Amino acid sequence: MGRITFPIGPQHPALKEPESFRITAEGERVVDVDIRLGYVHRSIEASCIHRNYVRGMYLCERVCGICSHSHNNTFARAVESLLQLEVPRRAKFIRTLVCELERIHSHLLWLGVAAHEVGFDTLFMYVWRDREVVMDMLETISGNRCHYGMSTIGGVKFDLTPEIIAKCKEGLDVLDERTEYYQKVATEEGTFLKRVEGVGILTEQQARDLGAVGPTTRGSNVPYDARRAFPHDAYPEVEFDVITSDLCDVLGRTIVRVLETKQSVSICRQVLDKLPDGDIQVRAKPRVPEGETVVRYEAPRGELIYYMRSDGSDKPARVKVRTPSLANWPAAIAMLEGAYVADVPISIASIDPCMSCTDR
Amino acid sequence: MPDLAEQTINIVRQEYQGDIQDAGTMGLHEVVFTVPAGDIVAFATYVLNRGWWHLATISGQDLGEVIQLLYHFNANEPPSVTIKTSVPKAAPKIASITPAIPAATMYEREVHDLLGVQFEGHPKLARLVLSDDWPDDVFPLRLEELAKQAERDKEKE
Repeated sequence: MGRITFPIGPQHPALKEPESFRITAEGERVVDVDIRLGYVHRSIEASCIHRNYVRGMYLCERVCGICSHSHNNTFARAVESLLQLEVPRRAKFIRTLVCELERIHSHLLWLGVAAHEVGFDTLFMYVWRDREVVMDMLETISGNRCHYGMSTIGGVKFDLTPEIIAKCKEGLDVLDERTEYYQKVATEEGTFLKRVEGVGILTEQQARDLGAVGPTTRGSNVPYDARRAFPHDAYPEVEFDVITSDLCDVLGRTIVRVLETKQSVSICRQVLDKLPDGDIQVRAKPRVPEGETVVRYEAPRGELIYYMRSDGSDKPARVKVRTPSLANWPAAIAMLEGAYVADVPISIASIDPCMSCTDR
Repeated sequence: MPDLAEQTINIVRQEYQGDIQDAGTMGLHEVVFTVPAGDIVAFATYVLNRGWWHLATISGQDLGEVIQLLYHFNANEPPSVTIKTSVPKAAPKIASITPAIPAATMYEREVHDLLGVQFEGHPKLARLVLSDDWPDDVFPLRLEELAKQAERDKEKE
């Protein structure tokens, strides 16, 4: 049978962000995928070198518009590890709260996108309506919906008042109830199951070999979660399960994300219940002693890693960011090879790709 | 952590037969081994098979005379292992670990684009980040390019 190669992107009506996929198909089957990145490359790693640590932290927050707190907080933790600075306990708890609210927001966003990709737009509308609950909570805490600017070197910027805590608890009740419902939809709704079961297969061995991270790898039964492997902030003091699924398909990844959202709600409640009193910030020196560090964090899409080297000045000598989306591309390509052309959108969406993260 | 790091260094020094130029710690959980560039495939494969099953990324940086590469590995618990090695900036060539460790494919291509390191034996060392019309001899993360960027930033301000 004849082969045809067709481009999807960088500009394409069905692709929300600009990256280029060249797909070679034999009839209805994909035989080869070539991807090109860089269409939203903003040279953030290079730009960090020309800015002091505080400006670099706010710049890195803009690596991603969804997991912004992940970058903000991980950058701050990297600088703190170079300064050997201990953050106040209350600040650690507030950081963890925002981390988990962000995870809820990101996973709900993904569920909506996935529903849209399989043509289940009712679910998409429902999920995004409920996502507003967590967006409002984040806005109440930080004043912003996307770029919270919550963490700073030595602590957090904004404290939680009793009114905010009460409002968060109300919001968590709504989210808990709605997530319960989405778990039911994702595991029982026939129209959804038909479209995701056995689609986008990534075996456990492939997930390990290709270095996949986050829900992509946990959906293939690899129990790696950086929050559990390298606990930080308030994570050692809260209880949560690392969710895995042995289905190895899009359904497995969906179940992992929905159940993780429930875990996140539970972590948020524990954090609010155990929230200690005290300061939220300690003063940090602008000059950072010479040294280098590696910091890992489980962002909503998977493990995020920062490498930072300081030469003793007020600007970093090197900042390297590896975002989870970049790590998941080889896995996405593996899912597509041999799949139906019609399954390409949902398979790509199942790694929850973020193009601006990929490129930086 | 210091005990754990020391134990790890001792174990690796005993088990691995090749040349380890330096061993130390870095940051929160990291044990760092420095090996000659020629041994990278052998040592990286050893580290992967010894339990640090996940290659998190490859960082590269221009240190003036040399380009340093850092291969960050980890397991499901501390400590993690970072392998450091350097290639001369005048002839930045190193064997690709992608045939042995497929997870490295994107990371090597990125370092190739941004720092101009040739990974020999990589199945497809094509452009990943830079555009097709980007000049062949300009590497954005090399020190001379970063200095030019700083100049341009100053002019804007």
